[in-house]
Amino acid sequence: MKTFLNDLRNALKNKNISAIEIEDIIKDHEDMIEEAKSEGLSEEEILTKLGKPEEIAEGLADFEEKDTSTETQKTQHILKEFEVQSTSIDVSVSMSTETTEYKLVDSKSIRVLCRSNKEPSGYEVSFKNDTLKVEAPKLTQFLSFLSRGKGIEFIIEIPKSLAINHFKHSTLSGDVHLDGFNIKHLEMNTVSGDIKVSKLEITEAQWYTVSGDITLDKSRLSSLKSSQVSGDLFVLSSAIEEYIDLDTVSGDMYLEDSKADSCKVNSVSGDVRGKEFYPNKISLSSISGNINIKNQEKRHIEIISRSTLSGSIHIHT
Amino acid sequence: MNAQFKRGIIELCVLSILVEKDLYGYRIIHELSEFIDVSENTIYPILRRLTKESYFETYVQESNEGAPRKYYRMTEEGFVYYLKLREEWDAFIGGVYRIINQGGKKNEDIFKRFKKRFEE
Repeated sequence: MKTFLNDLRNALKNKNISAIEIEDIIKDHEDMIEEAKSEGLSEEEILTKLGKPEEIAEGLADFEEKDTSTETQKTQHILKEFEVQSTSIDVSVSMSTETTEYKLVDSKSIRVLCRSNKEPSGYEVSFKNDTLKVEAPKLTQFLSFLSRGKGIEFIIEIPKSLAINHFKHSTLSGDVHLDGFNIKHLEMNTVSGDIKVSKLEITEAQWYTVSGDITLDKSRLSSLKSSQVSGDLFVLSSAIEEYIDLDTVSGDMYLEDSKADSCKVNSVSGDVRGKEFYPNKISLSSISGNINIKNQEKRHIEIISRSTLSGSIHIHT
Repeated sequence: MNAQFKRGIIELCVLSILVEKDLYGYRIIHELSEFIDVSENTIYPILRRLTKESYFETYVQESNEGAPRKYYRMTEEGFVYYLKLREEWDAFIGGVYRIINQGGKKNEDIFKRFKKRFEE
């Protein structure tokens, strides 16, 4: 057994897996050997059950933390570049695990860049009828989920001069960053990916996430519909002209230094915490979720409706 | 069998076990190897990867039989992922069955037809 563990340790080292991870993996194997022994398995049987150390290391190598000294450098690829004639465009992007960052640029063309260890493949990038489309390899076929886009970063450059009509971004676990854009309709969906948007001018925004966190910072919107299951929402230094609809199961919502005309909260157990948050009207529908607002300035906040089992609305000034 | 393909199926099997209950590593491997021919060196890396991707979390619990055990518990993200994989699998395997059963399920019938064509 000692030999097995030693071989495994060496095999993991050969794959450049970091020391902390190696200790953790060895510990797991010691535990499994103990379990097998207590079930009365012979040494030989246990070794067959465990398999070859090299194969274990092989199976772990592609995702464990590596010793950074030897990590391969990510390279940047330009996937596509499009000259744009018109003044406004639509954007529709669908990712799976890739991180995506949108950037405003001075140039006249849209560029889709990708930073990854390997040459990216299977991505569909097109610009037709004034619509920019980026699609990660489809996950509908059974085998395709094996080739995940883990660790791949997308950078999408959009000329400053362009107005964006409809902006849609969906992703499974990839994060998305958006900074400084002017958008009419914004729509985002994520399962576990985080959404970070700042300095936006949006007419209508709508997003949905299961467990990702959402941060909206320094933005001006007409209206916002936010729907989350367990992810948290942060609205910071933003102004919402009309309404803000917040839907949550257990995620909490933090609103700071922001204002809105009306704020409607629909929650199971998620709470709303406001600090320097000034809506004109507020309504709460919840099981146990609360609304707590702490403001310096005394401004009237009208409570339109309150329907809750054990939740409450508190406004302190 | 193609290694990647096998890994995908085992991933779904691991998820299917943990969707029902929390279990420790050795037990997961044991439950799988009761039905399919896999060894620890295939299952362990999958367990670890799914944990790294936050589909599982782990906690340690004392046991009556000796050392404390590291249990794996499926997260909400894991559940969403499980549903997705399962759907993909159903669609894929459904398609496969339709193809291989095009000529019916009886080997004798298929053989008769084949033989007839062969003789023509």
